[in-house]
Amino acid sequence: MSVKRNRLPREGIGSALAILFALIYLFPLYIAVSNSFKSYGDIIKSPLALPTRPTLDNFVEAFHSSNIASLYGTSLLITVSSVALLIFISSSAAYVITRRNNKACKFLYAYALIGIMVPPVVTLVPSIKTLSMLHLMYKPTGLLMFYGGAYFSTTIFLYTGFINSIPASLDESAYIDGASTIGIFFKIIFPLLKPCTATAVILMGMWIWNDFLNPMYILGSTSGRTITTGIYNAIGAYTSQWNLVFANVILASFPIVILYLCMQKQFMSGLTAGAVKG
Amino acid sequence: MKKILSLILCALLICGTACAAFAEETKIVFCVNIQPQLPLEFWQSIADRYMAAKPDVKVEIIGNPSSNVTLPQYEKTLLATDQFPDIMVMQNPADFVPSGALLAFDEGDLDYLADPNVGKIDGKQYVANYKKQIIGVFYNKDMFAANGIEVPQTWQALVDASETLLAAGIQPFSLGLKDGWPQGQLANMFAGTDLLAKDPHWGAKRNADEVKFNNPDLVKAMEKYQTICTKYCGSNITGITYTQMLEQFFTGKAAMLPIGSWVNAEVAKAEQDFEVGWFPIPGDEDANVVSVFVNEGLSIGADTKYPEVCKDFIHFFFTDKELYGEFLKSEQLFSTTKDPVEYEMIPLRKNMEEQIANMTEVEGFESMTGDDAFLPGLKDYFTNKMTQNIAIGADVASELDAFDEEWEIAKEAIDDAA
Amino acid sequence: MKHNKLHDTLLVAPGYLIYTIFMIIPLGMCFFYSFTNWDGISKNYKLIGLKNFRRLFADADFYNALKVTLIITVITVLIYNVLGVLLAVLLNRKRRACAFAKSAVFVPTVLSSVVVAFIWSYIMQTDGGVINTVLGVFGIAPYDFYATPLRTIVMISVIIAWNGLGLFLVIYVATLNTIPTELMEAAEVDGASGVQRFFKITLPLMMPGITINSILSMAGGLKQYDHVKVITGGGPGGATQTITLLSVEKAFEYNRRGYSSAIILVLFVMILIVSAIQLSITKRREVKY
Repeated sequence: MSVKRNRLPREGIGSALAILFALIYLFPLYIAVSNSFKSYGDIIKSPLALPTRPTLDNFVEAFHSSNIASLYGTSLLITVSSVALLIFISSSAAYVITRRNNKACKFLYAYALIGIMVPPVVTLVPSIKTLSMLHLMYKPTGLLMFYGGAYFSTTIFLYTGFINSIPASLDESAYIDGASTIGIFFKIIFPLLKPCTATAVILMGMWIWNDFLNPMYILGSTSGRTITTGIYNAIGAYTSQWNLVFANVILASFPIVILYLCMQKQFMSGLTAGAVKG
Repeated sequence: MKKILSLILCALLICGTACAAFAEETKIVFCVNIQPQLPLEFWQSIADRYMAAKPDVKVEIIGNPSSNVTLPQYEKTLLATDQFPDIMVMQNPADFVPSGALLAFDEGDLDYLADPNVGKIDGKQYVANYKKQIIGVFYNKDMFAANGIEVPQTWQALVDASETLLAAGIQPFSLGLKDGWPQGQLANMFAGTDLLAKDPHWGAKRNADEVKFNNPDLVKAMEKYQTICTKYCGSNITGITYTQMLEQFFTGKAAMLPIGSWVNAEVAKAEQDFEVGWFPIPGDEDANVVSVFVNEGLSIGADTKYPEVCKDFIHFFFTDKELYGEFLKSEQLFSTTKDPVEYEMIPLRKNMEEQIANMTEVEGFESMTGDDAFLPGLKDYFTNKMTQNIAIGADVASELDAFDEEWEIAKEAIDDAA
Repeated sequence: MKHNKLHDTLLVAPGYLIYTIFMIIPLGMCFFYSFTNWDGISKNYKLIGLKNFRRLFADADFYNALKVTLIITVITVLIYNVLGVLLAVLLNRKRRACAFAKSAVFVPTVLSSVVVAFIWSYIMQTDGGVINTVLGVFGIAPYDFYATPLRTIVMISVIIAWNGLGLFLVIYVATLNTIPTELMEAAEVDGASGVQRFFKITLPLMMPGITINSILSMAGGLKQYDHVKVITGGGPGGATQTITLLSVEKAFEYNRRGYSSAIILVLFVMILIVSAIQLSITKRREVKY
């Protein structure tokens, strides 16, 4: 009993410290959010305070300066289709290369991991060459393919770790019962991958949503811009109108923050069961 | 075998989705230089006016997506990836001409310009120069008067004036390295007065390897530049951006702003509570030299399908006086057409014109044109590296030696390619 | 057991095909260019053997970029892994406050590096930045984060770490959750102190997470581009340039695509070697339970 009595105040202090730490950690975001509701003059006068005269002018202006709805549309299309493509191509490939214990699959695994070592800026220009040879430039399809190549390594890495933790007896017995490999994968394995897929959706979703350089060059200015490119355009680096900068920043970021908050649980369980055990 | 078959199948699938037919229409892509004074809307208005006049042509505007990607950098990426525009704002044709990317204008194409020959490369003109800018020092007249300072006519007087300001607790110059280019303007000014005034075609001699960057005149110029940067620009020159420089000067935190005439556009806003004056950087004896930039203009891509439409568009740009006047007004520029174009000028801008009327004009050092132009890549070395290193106190002579070494590398690259 | 080869191929092929076309081939092109003098824009170029590499190893800019990259890598790797492990252990309790703190650390991770760089540029401004405004209130002279290249690099490293810590924390928390609770309880019953338990049980059992995280953080540090690009652009005078920044600058500003590709090739080999060494060290320390 005495132990428990001792613990209560300590737990209180621990919780208080954790909350304090979290608040300090979020402080820069507080700056961005609170200043996006202030006028330029108010930011200069009191950058730290809560907005005393909150205004939506900055957001209104951000909406006016760029066509936000179409930016969101393009981003959503690109992000959703790229993530879907990546999940499909890498989960299926990962399944085969982890289950077949032969040299070819070991090689394919190592081959897939090469991509992790490559800084993304490096392959951009040569990729654009291959894209224009295939007539995929300026098209969302082209960007889709580019992401398929760029993040394949990471998703393979995630899925192989996770599939390793699923007992092989499960699909082997289905195979003996006469089910086809493709059938087993889609009917039995893929549903079991849900936590890992959640992890992949969050990671890929945030990387692709936030990406800036690749859409800028691959989509050009003809097939619409993504929100990140569009916002960056609107901000420009010439401006020191921080109120507008922050309003743009928030418009660009909040969908992805919400996605994370919604999928947090699955994301965590995916990581727990997956990569770290592999 | 099955493996190969399925590979082929997949490849076909991908290509199949890709091959969409291109609709035939006269469409030209115009790559512009987006700046605070010349936002996207301005360039779009040019395109709109042209399309209204020529309904069968479609003009599409593209531009560098942010100031983090400079225009030449963006254009090089477009070129490397086969997306080079039909018409573009061109700042350094010397980087593009060796690879055959630009279309040369024919004799007579640019007759409407005052000097169609400025900046020719190997006798051919690749750029329709659309503006002239000068660089010099904007100063706070009230501060000068309050401290009994006259406009400096010699280098020594400039140093004395700076000392007086410093003693009065005022930061003499506003300058920053963070954006990478503004400090280069001050270096250009000194190179102009101390080197190019003696020998306007020094650039061509450097390109022929008859002279070196490490020579007494340029050493002297860069030492002066270093003096200003290390002694008279406040304590945090490395962290200051261009916007902050303007803020410092126009809010009265610094007395002088060494930069280009485009700042007239800021002066015109009349948000400052003091009178702004302007003087060129003085030499040892007198103040009689001004550096002029004529390196920017419109160029046509060599691979355009519609060279005649492009030329017509450029002609339209220069001869639609309202449009061209609007363009000049945005930065209070100097026109380059045969018929001078009138626009609403601020008094300071007129005063500049009077001041430089009798001065020796030399080209801006980093952006000399035609056969005087720096070899490809050297301008970036000058702004991104050398002038920044000198500004934070590096040894001038060894920096210039390093610049000469860089020249060797650039030269070798050109010879290798030939 | 004999598996259906066609089905296996159909599952594997699409991904590997896309990966090969859009990752491996471009990478191969990049390697090929490193042996040429291509300027990035001309139609012609020549093979020049190892000339780019000889020049590279005599280039002071390259060594400086290497130094900057290594400083960023060391600082971020330390923060990610030391702070990451500590936070994971401290926050891994079933309490609302801890869950909140974990989410708080992860939120910056979902933001784009561009956004993060903008926010921090404002906070760190010498003139009128948040930190210096606060210092001003207490009558302390403004602190210039850009005064020396080293200071700027350290500042950028901390910003990068702030941005990325969440992912590493989450992976560590996930690793912790795989440790059987009976093990901890048994140790507690045996009278092991908190510190003893941490070093004798928790840490060794977290090795799989440490392996992943150290490789991810190391590769991330060596590849660093975005934050430095937005915050300093590599200046002054290239003093804060990372290897990727140097290579991009050589390619797009100096028209030296061949040379730029050589830089990338060297970086690639570096990451490969570092990962291999790390894998062999940490794998050896992993314990099975």
